[in-house]
Amino acid sequence: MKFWPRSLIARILLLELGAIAIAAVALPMLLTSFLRTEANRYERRILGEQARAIAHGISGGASGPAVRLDPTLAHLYASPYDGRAFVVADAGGRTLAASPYADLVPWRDAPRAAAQAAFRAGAFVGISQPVRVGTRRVWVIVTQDRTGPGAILDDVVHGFIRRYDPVLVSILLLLPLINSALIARLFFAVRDASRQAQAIGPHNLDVRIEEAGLPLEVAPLAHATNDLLARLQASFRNQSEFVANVAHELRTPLTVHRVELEAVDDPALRARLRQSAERLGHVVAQLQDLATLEVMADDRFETFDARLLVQETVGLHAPQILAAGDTIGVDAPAAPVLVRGNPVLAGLALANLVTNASRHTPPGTAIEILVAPDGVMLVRDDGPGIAASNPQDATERYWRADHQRSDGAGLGLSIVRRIMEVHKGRLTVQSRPGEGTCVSLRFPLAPGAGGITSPS
Amino acid sequence: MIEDDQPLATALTEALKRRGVQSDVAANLADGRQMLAAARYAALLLDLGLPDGDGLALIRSLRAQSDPIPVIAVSARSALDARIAGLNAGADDYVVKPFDVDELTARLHAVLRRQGALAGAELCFGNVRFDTVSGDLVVGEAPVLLTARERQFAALLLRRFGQVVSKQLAEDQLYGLTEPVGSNALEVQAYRLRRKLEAAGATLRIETIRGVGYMMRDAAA
Repeated sequence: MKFWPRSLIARILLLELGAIAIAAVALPMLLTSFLRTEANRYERRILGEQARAIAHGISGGASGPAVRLDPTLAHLYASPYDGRAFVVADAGGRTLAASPYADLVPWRDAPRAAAQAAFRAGAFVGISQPVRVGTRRVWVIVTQDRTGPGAILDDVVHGFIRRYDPVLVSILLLLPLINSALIARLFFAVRDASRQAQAIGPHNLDVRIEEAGLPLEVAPLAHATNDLLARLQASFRNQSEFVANVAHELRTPLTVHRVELEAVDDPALRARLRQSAERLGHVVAQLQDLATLEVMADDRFETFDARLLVQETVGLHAPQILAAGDTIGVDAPAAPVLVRGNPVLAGLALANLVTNASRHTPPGTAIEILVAPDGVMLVRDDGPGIAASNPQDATERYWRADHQRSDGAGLGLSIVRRIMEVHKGRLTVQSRPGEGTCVSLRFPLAPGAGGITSPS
Repeated sequence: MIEDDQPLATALTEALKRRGVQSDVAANLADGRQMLAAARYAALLLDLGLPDGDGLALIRSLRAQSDPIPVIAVSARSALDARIAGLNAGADDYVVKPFDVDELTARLHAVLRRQGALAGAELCFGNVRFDTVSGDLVVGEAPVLLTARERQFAALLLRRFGQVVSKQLAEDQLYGLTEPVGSNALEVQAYRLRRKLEAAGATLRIETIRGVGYMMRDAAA
């Protein structure tokens, strides 16, 4: 359908407007017809009652039937107003009695039947009521001019509908407005839920769509989505645990391998075996870290001094960095830099950056760690840099600068990235070939710590 | 050594023997407890994941009995939790599988030395010997004259040989908590000690890790 819109609201509005247009035309017609029928019945009933009242006043005399009218009735028929007139006629059409202006009305057209009958003649309507007087049958014929100034019923009906119709249509037009407001509310709720769903990725599977406040009709969808998320999260968790278990199981045989290779006599072969065993160990450790951090990510955050974390981490890794022929130094402000996070994970992120800076650069590289008062920790080296169009790619899992080395460097930065995601912090990698690499970690500052806290 | 993995236990025993370290192996915690009660061992190499329980429990019960035996925890867990759990339970040090036998031996020697040094023994690294009781420092055969502060500093660095001594710790140890410390007082001490060691031809070097602390290491190694 070409003109059939996809939007539910547009469809509903279109249908409602169509229904209102039909109602606007059909309702006055129906109303007019109903009112007219009702008015006719009413008119006939009144005429009938008057005919009966006149008939009541007919008495049979020796000289034929005589009519004695009730004074109010007589007064009513004293003027030709509204074409009101009555005639008492016999079967031959002879007038036995009549109102003063009866000649002005076409009473002769009235049927003279055995039962009361209504008739219409031109603008006049009337009732012909048979009455038995003695042995004779006479008819009381009562008329009224429908177009007369007193018969205002038609005007009333028309006037009423002319006024009533716009009111009715405006009330009807309010309905789509109210409906669209209601539907819009539903639509906003759905859009809100969609937005929440859109923000959920593999890295924040613990987030759920807010179900409270959703309309009953949409809540099942949100609920089903949340259930799906729960199952996904469980499966992710299982996967992480599986990886952790595999890595754990690999550690002991790897150790045996490393210890046993000492028995190899050829020093060159021994060195090669040892190197490959070291790589294996490194990858296993990183796999396990990656899996463990998924589990630890749920731990509560605490407030810690970024300077102390940096000093501790660098202190732990300085021996191996100096042994590799590199130098390392820390620059930190005098006041504490209080940030929110999991210090173990933050330390792991920093350790990865520091060891990366040493492992993937030639000996003699100067590594510097800067702590800024705004919660940024920066690891900078003057090594060869990352040869890639976009250094940020280096944070993707399994990415490696030379696509050759299999020492788990690709895992290292993805561990860091994951940790920063958990902290809702930021990881940026800047690098230019020949000018070194600079990786910065931004942790959220602890509330109230604007970097101006006094040293304790 | 308490290690349930038979191949690893055998390989390690052999590798340690080649380095002059004799070891007995227990395959589970119960055997380990019995052996510790029956004989006097210089140090305990303890795998944390054992079939009949958590190795950390053994460390806790040893420490509860005030047993000073140096313990090196061997963990197959991620370095993250191993460090926290092992050291909190009272282990002197830890290694994470897969480790290097040389590294393990070095750590073993370090914990033994630390204990010995606390008991008043001599610290020997490279061509430097340091008497922790008298505070005498000898390079090769030549004694090096040190001030009291330099002696304290040398003792601190040598006890934690190969490890970083934080600036904070060094200041606390050298100057106490009450004495006001100039911002570069420690640097002056490190500079003087470094000059004296160099002049005496020591193979040891004092490394400055800017913003963190100091570390003594063997430049020849």
